[in-house]
Amino acid sequence: MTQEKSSSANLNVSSVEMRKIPSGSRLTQRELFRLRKWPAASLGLYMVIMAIAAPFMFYIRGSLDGYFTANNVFPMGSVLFGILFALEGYGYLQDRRRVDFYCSQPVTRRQMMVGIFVNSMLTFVILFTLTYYLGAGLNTALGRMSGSNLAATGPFVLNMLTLYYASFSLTALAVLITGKTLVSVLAAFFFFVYEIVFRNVIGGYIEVTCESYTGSTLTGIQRIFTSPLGWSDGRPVSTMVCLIMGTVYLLLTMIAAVHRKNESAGNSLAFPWVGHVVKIAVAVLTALTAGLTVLQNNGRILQPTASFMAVFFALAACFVMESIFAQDIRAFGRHILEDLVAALACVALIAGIITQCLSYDRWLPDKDQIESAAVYPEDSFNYSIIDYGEPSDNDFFSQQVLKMKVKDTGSVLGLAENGISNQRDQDSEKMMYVYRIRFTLKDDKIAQRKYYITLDALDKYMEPISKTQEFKAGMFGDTNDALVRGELDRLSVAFTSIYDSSIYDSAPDGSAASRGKAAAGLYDGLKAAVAKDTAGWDYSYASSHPAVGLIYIYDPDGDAYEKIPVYMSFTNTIDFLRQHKMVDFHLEEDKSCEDGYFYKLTQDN
Amino acid sequence: MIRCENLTKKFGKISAVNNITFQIDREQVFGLIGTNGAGKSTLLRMITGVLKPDEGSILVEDKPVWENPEAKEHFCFISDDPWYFPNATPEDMGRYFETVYRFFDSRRFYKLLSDFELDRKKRISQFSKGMKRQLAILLGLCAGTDYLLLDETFDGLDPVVRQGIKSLFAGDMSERGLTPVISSHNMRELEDICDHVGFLHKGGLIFSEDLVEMKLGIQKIQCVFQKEEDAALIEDLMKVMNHDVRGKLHTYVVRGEAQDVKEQFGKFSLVFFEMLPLTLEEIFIAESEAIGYDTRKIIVS
Repeated sequence: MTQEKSSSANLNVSSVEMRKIPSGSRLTQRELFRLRKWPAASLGLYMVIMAIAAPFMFYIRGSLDGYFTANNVFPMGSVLFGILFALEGYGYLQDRRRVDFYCSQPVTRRQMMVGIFVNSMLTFVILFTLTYYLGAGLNTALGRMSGSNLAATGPFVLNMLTLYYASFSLTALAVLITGKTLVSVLAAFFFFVYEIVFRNVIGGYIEVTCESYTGSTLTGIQRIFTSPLGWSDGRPVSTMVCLIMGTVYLLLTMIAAVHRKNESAGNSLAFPWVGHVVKIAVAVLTALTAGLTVLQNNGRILQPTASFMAVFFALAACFVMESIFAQDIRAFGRHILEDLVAALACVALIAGIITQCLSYDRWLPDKDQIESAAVYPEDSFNYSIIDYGEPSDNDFFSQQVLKMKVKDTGSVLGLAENGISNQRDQDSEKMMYVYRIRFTLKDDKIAQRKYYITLDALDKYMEPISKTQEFKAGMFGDTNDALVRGELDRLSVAFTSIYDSSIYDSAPDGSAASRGKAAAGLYDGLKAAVAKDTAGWDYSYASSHPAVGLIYIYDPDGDAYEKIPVYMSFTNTIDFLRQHKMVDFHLEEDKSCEDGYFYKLTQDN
Repeated sequence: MIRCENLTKKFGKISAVNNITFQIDREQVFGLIGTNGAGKSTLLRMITGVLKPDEGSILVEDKPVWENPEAKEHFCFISDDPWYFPNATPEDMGRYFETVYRFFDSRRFYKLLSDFELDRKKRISQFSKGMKRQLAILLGLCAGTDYLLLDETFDGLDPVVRQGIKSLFAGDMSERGLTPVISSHNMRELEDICDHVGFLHKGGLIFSEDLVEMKLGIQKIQCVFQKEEDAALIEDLMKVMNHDVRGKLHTYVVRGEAQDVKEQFGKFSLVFFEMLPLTLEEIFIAESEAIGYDTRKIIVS
């Protein structure tokens, strides 16, 4: 090359002067679209099948109202493709050859990251929206979907786009903090489900350990804050949560991108400290689950078995994680001291949870803290064919009862104190009944507990409570009065007796529905009759005389807006029902009745 | 010019590059030589902005390299195992390079593909290893950058292709001032192409010198003495870097200008005397031993 060198020494100077190089990113969206055909093609195919082909093929004669807004295929697709696009887009950082290829080019990492992000968003937004509305529009034009349903798809589509955004950002973070595809997938899975599993495990501890706990809102999927899973119902709040979540994860991804070293390509982790955090988190969850399993089978108090299992499984989890991070099974004991400390901390955590639950069970507000209280008899006054059961958010009756605002706080506290004294009384031979008390405190906070109350306490405290107007307003529907009146034109009234098979349903069955009458003309008269009858009703009557049936006020979908238990002493109410042909029998008390219903039924002629 | 000052790069506790300072001037072929694990690839990756140095600075035409497209525009990097898009053809890669490198000469690229008998529409995944390397070099050449950095890319090329590539380099150097920077552990491969050589060993730069100047200062002599005892006197007169004896034939590598060395040997009665061209390996051994490296150990390892 020396001869060439001497000739090159005579080279025209201008040829070695630096050329002015135009600025700006070289990696255009057009080029990215060209390079990322297969994920886009996969998405397109998925959406064509789900939004166009499937509705056409499988719903030829049916209505498609609800398919485009209440179907899991679209949320599932949004999440899956969010994961796929992030793995495919940022996966180059995990392959040394691709790092060499891209990072030596005149494109900054920021330009690459932003370019891939924009490309991923554009691809999904365009393909999803296009195919979705092609399918929805086609089916609306063919009459298989109503125009109003089409109009309702807007918020749902927005939710799907933000769900994709959140899933993409979360997975992108997983890719940026790891160095191998498999580890990225595990990390993404970790981020998606950790909080859900954790909350369920904690909920398990609460259910096992807290006797007075009335139902876990912790495990409700809508309360998950670190995962977009569950925020896919099309509501504006879900869209907002996904948007915020996605933005937070995106910011974290950008921070990771600034600090990530390219030489971490091919290593399990790009940031070694992340391994310690994840290891501890997995160990905690594993230990909690192991401890819970023991407690569920062996009782509520922390036992040596539960401690041992917690330590054992925590250590095992640590060892497995160390092996995964080091990609070497022999690396399991690399940080043995740290693992031991973590395992012991898990035992302390479990003890702390149990202690907290015990404290929860024993909590009682001061009398002057209480604004009002609601008392809900799960065992329906101890002796009733009608089993009120556990209240739920979807059951109007239980919500109707829990809206009551009883001011006799002394009696309510008496019930609660009895309930606390009966906690963990495993060997008691006393009859106990389940009552739920909801305290509304003066600072507007709500506290709800479930208690097992003895009969003598019920006799003492329920009698004065049951006589209050507030209690009767809850039991006999007045608390839902405004709700009913607001929709009276579309509601119906029906009565179901204890002799009907539908008594346990939340809505009248076919036979009762056929007896249903329009509520509009009947409601005032009915409530007036009930008001007269409940004046003389109290706990002592209800605990010795089971209800004879339930009045339902329900909508065309069968959802009960108000339920009113009817007792044999409700002569005005029963006459009103008979007058309007909703009752066609007479009842007499008969304690010797073989069918156990306590009443003898005589059909009207 | 590419200027590297006090470069250090560690991977955990291992020092891959340790406080290296040197520069690569324009219009010369710079050879980066070293054994496996010497730090050649790490150094090239730092120069090309793939890896960030832990300490030190790298300037390409007075611009810092790290995350600086303006600096990166000046070079194209071809790694030891070039990556291509899945299912891509040479045509696809050319189109991509055209997007990324503003001065990419696609017409020349397709002509070269034809000259080297690489089918532009055939999937690269079906190419042999050598063909993939050829393609990578052609892409790099046609990128039109001022520097072309190749990491052990010449390995695996057959002699004919290698010669073809070398002549292309020569042409580009002559026409547009291309500066190839080639790393290799095979000195014989770089022998007839490099103008300047940098030798790395265990992360350190042993020397960085102009090859011609190195050769000017070292001479290889083969001779036969009339009196065998004269052979021992040579070492008193000159700095002998290497002395090999086969029967009566003595081969010396000595430091000094050609004329001076000739004069010194002229003082003895010689049956045979010849000055031979030095190989890069011989120069390397001589220079390494001069600074205290036992090159036999290095070469064997």
